Amino acid sequence: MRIFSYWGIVLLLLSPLVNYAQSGTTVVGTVLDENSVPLEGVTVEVLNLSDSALVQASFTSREGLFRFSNLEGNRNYHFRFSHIGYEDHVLGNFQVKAGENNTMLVRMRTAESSSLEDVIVIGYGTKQRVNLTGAVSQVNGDDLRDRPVTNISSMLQGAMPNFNVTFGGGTPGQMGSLNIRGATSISGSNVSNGAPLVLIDGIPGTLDRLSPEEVETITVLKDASSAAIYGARAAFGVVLVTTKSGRSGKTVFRYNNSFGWATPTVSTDFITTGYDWMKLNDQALAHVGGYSGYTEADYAELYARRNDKKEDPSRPWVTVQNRNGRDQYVYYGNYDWYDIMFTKWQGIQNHNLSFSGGSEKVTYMVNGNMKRMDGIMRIQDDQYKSHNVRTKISAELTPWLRFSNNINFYNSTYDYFGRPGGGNANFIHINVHASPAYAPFNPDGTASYRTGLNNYDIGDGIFAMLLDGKTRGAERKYELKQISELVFTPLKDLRITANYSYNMYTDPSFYRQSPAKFSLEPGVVEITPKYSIDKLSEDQQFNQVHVVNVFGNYDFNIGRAHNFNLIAGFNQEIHKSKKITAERFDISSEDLNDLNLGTGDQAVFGGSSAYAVQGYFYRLSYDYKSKYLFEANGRYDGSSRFPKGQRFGFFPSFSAGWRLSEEKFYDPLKDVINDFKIRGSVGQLGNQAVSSPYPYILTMQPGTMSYIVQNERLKYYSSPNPVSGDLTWEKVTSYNIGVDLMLLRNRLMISYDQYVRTTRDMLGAGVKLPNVYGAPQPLVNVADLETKGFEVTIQWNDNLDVAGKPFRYNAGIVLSDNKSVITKINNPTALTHSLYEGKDVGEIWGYITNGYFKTDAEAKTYPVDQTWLNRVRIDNNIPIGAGDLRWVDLDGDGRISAGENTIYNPGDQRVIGNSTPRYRFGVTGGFSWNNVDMSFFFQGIGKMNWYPGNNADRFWGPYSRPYFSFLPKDFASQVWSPENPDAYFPSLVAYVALNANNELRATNNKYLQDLAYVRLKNLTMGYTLPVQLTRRYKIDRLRVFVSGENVFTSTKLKTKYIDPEQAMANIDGRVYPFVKTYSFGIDLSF
Amino acid sequence: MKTLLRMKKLFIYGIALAGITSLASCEKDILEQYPTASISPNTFFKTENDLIAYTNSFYSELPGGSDIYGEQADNIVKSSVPREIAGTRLVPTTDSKWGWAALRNINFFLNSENVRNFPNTEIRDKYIGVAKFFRAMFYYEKVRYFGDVPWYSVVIETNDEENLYKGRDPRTLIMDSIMADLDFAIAHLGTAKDIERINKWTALALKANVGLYEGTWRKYHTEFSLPDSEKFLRAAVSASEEIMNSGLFKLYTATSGPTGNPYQDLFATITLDPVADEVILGRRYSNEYGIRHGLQFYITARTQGKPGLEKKLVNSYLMADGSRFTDIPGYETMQYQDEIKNRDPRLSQTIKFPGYRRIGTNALSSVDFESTMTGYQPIKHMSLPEMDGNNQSYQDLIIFRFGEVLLNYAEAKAELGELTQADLDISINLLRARAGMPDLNMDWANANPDPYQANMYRNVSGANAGVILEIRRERRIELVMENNFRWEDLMRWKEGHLLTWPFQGAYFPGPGKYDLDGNGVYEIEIYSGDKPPATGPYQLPASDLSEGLSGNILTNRNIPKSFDENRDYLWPLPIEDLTLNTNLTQNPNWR
Repeated sequence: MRIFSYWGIVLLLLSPLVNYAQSGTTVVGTVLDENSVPLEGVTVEVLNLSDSALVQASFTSREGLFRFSNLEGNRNYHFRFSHIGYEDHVLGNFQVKAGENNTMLVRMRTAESSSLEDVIVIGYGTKQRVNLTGAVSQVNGDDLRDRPVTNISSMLQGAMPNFNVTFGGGTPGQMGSLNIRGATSISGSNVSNGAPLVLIDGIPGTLDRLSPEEVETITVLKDASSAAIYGARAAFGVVLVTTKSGRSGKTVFRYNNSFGWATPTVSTDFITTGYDWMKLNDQALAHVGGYSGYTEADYAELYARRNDKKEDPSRPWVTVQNRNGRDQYVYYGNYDWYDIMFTKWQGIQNHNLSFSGGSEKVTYMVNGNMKRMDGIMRIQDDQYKSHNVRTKISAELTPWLRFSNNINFYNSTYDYFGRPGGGNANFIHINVHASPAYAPFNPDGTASYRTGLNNYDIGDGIFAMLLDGKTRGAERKYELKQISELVFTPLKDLRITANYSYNMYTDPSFYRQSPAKFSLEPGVVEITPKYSIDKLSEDQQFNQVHVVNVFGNYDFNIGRAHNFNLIAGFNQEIHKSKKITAERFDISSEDLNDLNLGTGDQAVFGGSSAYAVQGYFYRLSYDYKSKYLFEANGRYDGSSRFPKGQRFGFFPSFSAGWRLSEEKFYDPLKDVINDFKIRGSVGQLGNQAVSSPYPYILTMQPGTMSYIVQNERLKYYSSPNPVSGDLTWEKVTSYNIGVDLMLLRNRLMISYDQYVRTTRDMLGAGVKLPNVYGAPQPLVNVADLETKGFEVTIQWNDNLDVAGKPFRYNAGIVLSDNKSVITKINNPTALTHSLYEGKDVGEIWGYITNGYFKTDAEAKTYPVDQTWLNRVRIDNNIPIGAGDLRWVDLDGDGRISAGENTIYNPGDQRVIGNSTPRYRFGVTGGFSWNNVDMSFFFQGIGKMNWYPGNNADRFWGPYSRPYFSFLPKDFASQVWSPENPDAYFPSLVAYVALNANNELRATNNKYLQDLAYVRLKNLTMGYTLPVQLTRRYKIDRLRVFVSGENVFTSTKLKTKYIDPEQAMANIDGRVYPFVKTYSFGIDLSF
Repeated sequence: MKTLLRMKKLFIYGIALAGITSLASCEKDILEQYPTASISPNTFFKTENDLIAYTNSFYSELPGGSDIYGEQADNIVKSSVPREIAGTRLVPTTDSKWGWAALRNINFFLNSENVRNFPNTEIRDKYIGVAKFFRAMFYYEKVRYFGDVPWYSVVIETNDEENLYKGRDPRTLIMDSIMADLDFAIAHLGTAKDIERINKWTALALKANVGLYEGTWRKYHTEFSLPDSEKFLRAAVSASEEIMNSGLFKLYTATSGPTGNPYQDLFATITLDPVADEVILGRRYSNEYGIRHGLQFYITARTQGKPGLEKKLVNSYLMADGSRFTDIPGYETMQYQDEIKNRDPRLSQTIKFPGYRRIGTNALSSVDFESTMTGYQPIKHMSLPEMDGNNQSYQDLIIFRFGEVLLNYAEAKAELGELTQADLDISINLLRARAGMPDLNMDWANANPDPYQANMYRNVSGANAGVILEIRRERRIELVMENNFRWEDLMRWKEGHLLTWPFQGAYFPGPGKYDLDGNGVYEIEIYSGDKPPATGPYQLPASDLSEGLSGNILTNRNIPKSFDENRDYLWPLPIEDLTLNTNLTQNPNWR
């Protein structure tokens, strides 16, 4: 602590204070930061010595000066200094001498994040960390700045323990799926990882529509006691986002930007020689005569060009030959289709401008953000953009009434070409038949589409579709949200808040398909059969949410030892959604896209729904001198999703904490473990987010069929799916115990939580009915699930003097884990893949292989009948021989089989792995010294199994489909042959990884993958220009930085062509690539 | 004192808070939310449009795409053999064949109060007729798979244990119920010709088909000791007669189609409108709507199983003059280019032949051994080349046609022993005439039963044996690649053993290169020993020929085939349902 205070003369002044009608004394002072730079906007409060009541408050000026001119002389006060990003500083018991010039100089220290005094946002209020009894994590928005990422959720991945973020792909603007503490419930035959409730300034919202610059804090409430006040939708945790607000004082402008370049995290080094690609695929399909239709002569041509990186004029890659009676193009190329379709680097930009400030009575904050990221398409550019503006204003109308308004507008746009959805869809569809041998263009500039030697659509025809840029679409999202709030303060310690929020969201999108052209015979341009339709589709969803909150917050204490806080309130929400889809055929213009231009058939579809929730809640917290802490929360909640009698539920919770370190007997330990708290909580919550908005009402759904009568698609109604009349809440009970420690002079913080969360009465099918029932069984509240886990946070913060300058550094680890078991369900049959009682969620059943047959003779004499897993071979008369997998007959019946495929008779299967991500971790560290700062952030998971899906093209190659476009460069070396007996894959046959009952498609121990990975999620280095320099240009602060995201990844996954997160997102690992990004930018305040 | 005052104020504000709260909530109970985009059954079925919209949902149960063209059995050979044909079916855990959702949807309609009380009984009965047609179709399929099945005419509730856990009802009850449903449909459905909608004629066509199936099943499957075979055959006859006498249908005989051959054009036509004379019910496809099927991809691609006609089917086509190909000495070793000559013209309208040109092109198109196992490459249904891509075919397909009715009529009559030459002349001989074939003479046929056919159809006997064999020949040829007829025929005739015969292709006298269509380009090279360098034609090892160095192409020769006469005519019930309902019994000999 380096605080210097001086005091001297006190001046007498005239301004009277309400209670003291006499003239006062003046106190002036200066506030500096550690580098002796004046700090502006610091809140300075003068407090009564006796009860710490606020006497007066002010803010420092641009020069760091503050002034109080009417204090009572010869009296002692506390002076409290606070400023965001700095530790609060209290100058206790300061005597204001009457008639003297009282001055003081204060230095404020940059805040340490793990401080016990941290203010933690909790439901409908805040609390100091020291008084928390529940499981809560929090990060500051400022820690997320300056990272080259388009979404906040990605920045939060690994930042807080058991706050789990997963992505469906790397598409720009892709929103993360959030989950807290693992499996939550079941839906159908799957276990779901339910999402927490996300509240932005107290109103439901979407995390990824925020920009980090406008975020003050993000808080995650994990256990029932923290979340119970939100009742029905908070069963699986709550994420509370608080946005920044203005502060009285000078207007502060802040602008920051970053410019970056992104590139896939995975290798894109594929086979690009037509000869090698064709050889592999024809070999895989040899049993039916190959794939390519190329003759030996054709192969000779391919071979001659095998080493041509560029087309040699004497050996053209596109030839014209007479085949099957007509002149047509025959291709002998070495085309790099990935390079033709996709860019290697994608630009990314972020700009953010904010200004905030205010007078004593009115404060405001405005933040505007713009992001732009290029997609991966090269042949026709795709681009993602988002804009975000937030305006907050708050005014004190009367001393007891404050009004504030908070408006947020968000917009994102994705413009693309090709398949509906753009980048990701093109990325997936180009994955077939785009052989390097095949040219994308013919010499006359027309697109290729087919070879004429076989019937397949090259790259699914995507290239032909993209070429003229007429087939395209856009996805747009607009959200406008406004919150109006009144806060009454009728008594000093009573605050009544009433707010109303209206949220409007719409996502108008269009897609235009224009017939795509190609040429197979020189000079003849045809329409591709697959993309022959001329059609414009538009669709638009319109969602509205109305939220009302009214709650009172009352603080009081008895004898300054017994501290009480009481909250009671009411909450109501209505969600309405409506959708319109329209399509029209034969549009008169290729370039204009409006439904009015359609001259052909048209079709229109609608859809709408609504649901509402209503709840009454309370919280009572009590502490005795911050030593014994108690809290009780509860909510009586109703949901329109349930029938009248079952609509409401009461969800209580309790928690308690004990700070041993405050006890007398603890004193000897106090120097080592400075603070020691144990906590525990128990609570019950309800989950209403089950199936449809009307799960108990019989309805007949309209539909449109792929069946044509009178040249129209048949419209129909069919019988309602049966429903159960007595549905009610799923009940989630959670138990949490935790320990918080501060060690080594508060430099080391350790926080540990362990929990059990049970979800009871989950909606599942009741007693399994015979199939003659003829409908999906109505869901009833029958099944139970239990999730157990732990989370630990360890944080070290310290500073040293290095060369006379403060060197502060920090390091931290978060680690969490969870696993779930189905504890009750109605499933006596217990098929291995179904949810049965006692099932470890995520378990993977499979067969066991102990390697390849060494010789044909060994295969022939192997006493176990393995036809069950050799379907393609049997059907195609391919004998089992050397290089084929040998299966272990676990049940000893002489043949490989699935038995009854139940857990009681699984045949030769057993549990070989588990797909639940385990041991998620994050490691952070950083330092700052002499205006230089650096931080790093590693993130990863410790264990997770993945069995590649049947279309995992980059993994299986031709073992799945003998025509996947992108084969890993070294794939041939992984194929078994007598010369290569230790290859990773067995002898090559097509479809064995694609179709059921085949050696690679059957889940097995040999090809089961471990997705464990560690990734350098972010590395940032910054330099803040010396203030003395920037001041000259009226700039308070100017920092330049470079940042890298996903810089480096290490994984146990046995392919460098699939990112572990791609595999987590999609069983085939076939989603838009995740990217690593390098960027630079500036961050400037003035 | 101060605290007391504070408490009082607090109380007042508490009241105010409660006031605001109730203001927000009392306008209306916002938790009462009802669907806004779907209809409650109570308010539905009030207008004819409601009845139409609901009965439209049944149409999804009609066969489409590969259900229609994807026939196998012993007619079409593919690179792999389905388990039911190889005789290697397993008792499944679950099975979509044992699915009952469609029935629930139908019975929901039939049991709806609003339907029953629909004011206009004529309109009501018309749509009840549609529902009963589909219920008959549903149960007909169930019986073909499983024999005895439980009959349900109600919507089963979750607590309806009696229905949920009941055993199977006898086949006789089910079949009588099917016929009753069909009779209701015939009596109340619309009578105007409409090839897209279920009407009286569709119901009659189904009834003829059901009657023939059940009549012959009961006649030949003596092991089940079922009565009333004749009743069903008569129903087939009368239903067929009603269609034949209606004057609304006739064979398509125009020569204005894409090839000028009416038989070929009947299937190659893109829309059914030009051939509507013969169509009783068709299924439309649309390129514009993207509602397509995979027929041409199936036939032309290398990866769709390489379908080809089986040799015994090809042998069954008569000579153009009506004499039998299999009576020609040495027919067994006749090569493709010879055997294909002077045959029933339907052969060259069903498979590629020398000089074949695809519709929409002028180029000759040869047999492509990359795409056919046997060398007899099907072209039935083939239309424009642009439809060759994966799921890119959009020609309409036929579900019921007049030609089938004529075959049903003749066969039912013959099985009843009531067939006359006049009957043949208004049925089989119309089909033959369309193809350009001479008439079938009943007396000659009965006097000269074809030993080749007799060798296949072992259970045919009696005075009409000769003509029954000829009717079966006619049926197999005329209806190849349509609606999986062949499998059903083998089942009802109790001739499952035919599936175990080796499936063969064209004959080759020995190693060498062969130009099948004489266009100067080799299509296939037979080699013995090591594979020679490829020079263009498809290469086949001589070991794939039936005699080692010569013979017919042997397909799937390593797939062991068997047919259990005591088991394989019915499908096994899935284990899951037998476990859930112990009153259900497994079909004979399935374990």
